[in-house]
Amino acid sequence: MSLREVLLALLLTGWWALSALNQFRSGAWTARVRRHIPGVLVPSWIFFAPEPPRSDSRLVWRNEVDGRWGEWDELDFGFAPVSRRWLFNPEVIEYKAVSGLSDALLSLGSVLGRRGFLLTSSYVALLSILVSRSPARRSTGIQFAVVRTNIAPHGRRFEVAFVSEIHDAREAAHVC
Amino acid sequence: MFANPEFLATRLVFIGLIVEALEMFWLRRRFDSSGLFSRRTLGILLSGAHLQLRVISALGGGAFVAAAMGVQAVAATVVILRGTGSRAGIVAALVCLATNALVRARTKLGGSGAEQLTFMVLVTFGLVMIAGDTVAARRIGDAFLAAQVTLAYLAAGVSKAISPTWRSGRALGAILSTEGYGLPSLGVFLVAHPIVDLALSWSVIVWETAFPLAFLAPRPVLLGTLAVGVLFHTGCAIFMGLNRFPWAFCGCYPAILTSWALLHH
Repeated sequence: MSLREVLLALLLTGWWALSALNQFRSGAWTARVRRHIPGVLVPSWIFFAPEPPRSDSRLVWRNEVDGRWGEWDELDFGFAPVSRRWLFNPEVIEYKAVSGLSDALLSLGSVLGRRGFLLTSSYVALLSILVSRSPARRSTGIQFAVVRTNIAPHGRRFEVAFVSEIHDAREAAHVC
Repeated sequence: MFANPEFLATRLVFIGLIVEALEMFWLRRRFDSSGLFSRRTLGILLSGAHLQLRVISALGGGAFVAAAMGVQAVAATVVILRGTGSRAGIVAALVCLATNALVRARTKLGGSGAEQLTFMVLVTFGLVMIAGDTVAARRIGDAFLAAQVTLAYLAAGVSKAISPTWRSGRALGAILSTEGYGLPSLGVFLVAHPIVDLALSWSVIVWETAFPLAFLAPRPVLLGTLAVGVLFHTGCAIFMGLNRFPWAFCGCYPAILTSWALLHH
């Protein structure tokens, strides 16, 4: 084998070893490595386990306009019809983006305590996304919530999993 | 995969890249200033990341992403038609690497294991080219991808095997009861018929955890194992909407076949 082939083999072996370690979340060491290597190159192959998803994380929000709070609205991109989602399913990308941020917020919230979540990137990102959808000049307040839903055997179930603080929409637009 | 570019199955990954290009084109407005994948949102998520990542992630709004995906679709089509053994196919595959890297950096959210694997395939191909594009380099690339896919199945299987929910046959009914990944009517059926859920759950656990053994087995067993994989990923696409997994994972099966052949000769 040539030198380049040997180096290729060594590099790919190291990459595989790092991937294998990351499956077991070897804590500080792999976390340090992931800071320097794009996360997509250090894969996690564990999907839907050990705990499978049992519900959908839905994002709802409301605006205060002219001193009055409006109805709760949902950030809903819809779901692809079963007839085509096996082939073409852009809606799942949006769904996973929102549910990923929501789930990250919920897991951090339980660790960081009552107001610790306010400075997490998932909280700020969700607020930023919703502020950009709010009626720009007229909105004076904004609040969002994460609701978990699933289709249980006896009908749809809802659970409010998280409610944000009330933010000044104009300040949030500048900060976010 | 890389070592036998004349086989049509080696081009499945690039069909997945066309699907991705079409999906990202469909979502192009989400990359504009008020969209889900706006640069503002990405800037918040990458505030602690390296400068290079932040720079790449700041490239372009919806029009830019749409153009990049147009290039990806054309390049992936060239690879499908010409294979990665031809000069045109090689250049086109490297173009796909560039466009896929861009969309990975620019999206950050909403990714899946299929996109992880697809990007790893493209990066590995790039490294094989840097190593001189020799027969040996291509086989090393194939061996790596075979090892990654095997690791993926083994890790997934072990994580299910240690889960009381999966072992007791309550997992699939739960997943399929969600709107995002499921088919609620099928979820209701599985909850009402737990023995079916149990059988399906253990089928997946056994197949995934036993996958590495296929490398030691005779060729018919290996082919049967891969056939089950095709059925598994097709089922996940149909019943869960995980549409890119068949292209990504089954697209790496030629690498497994090549690596098995090297082990047994």
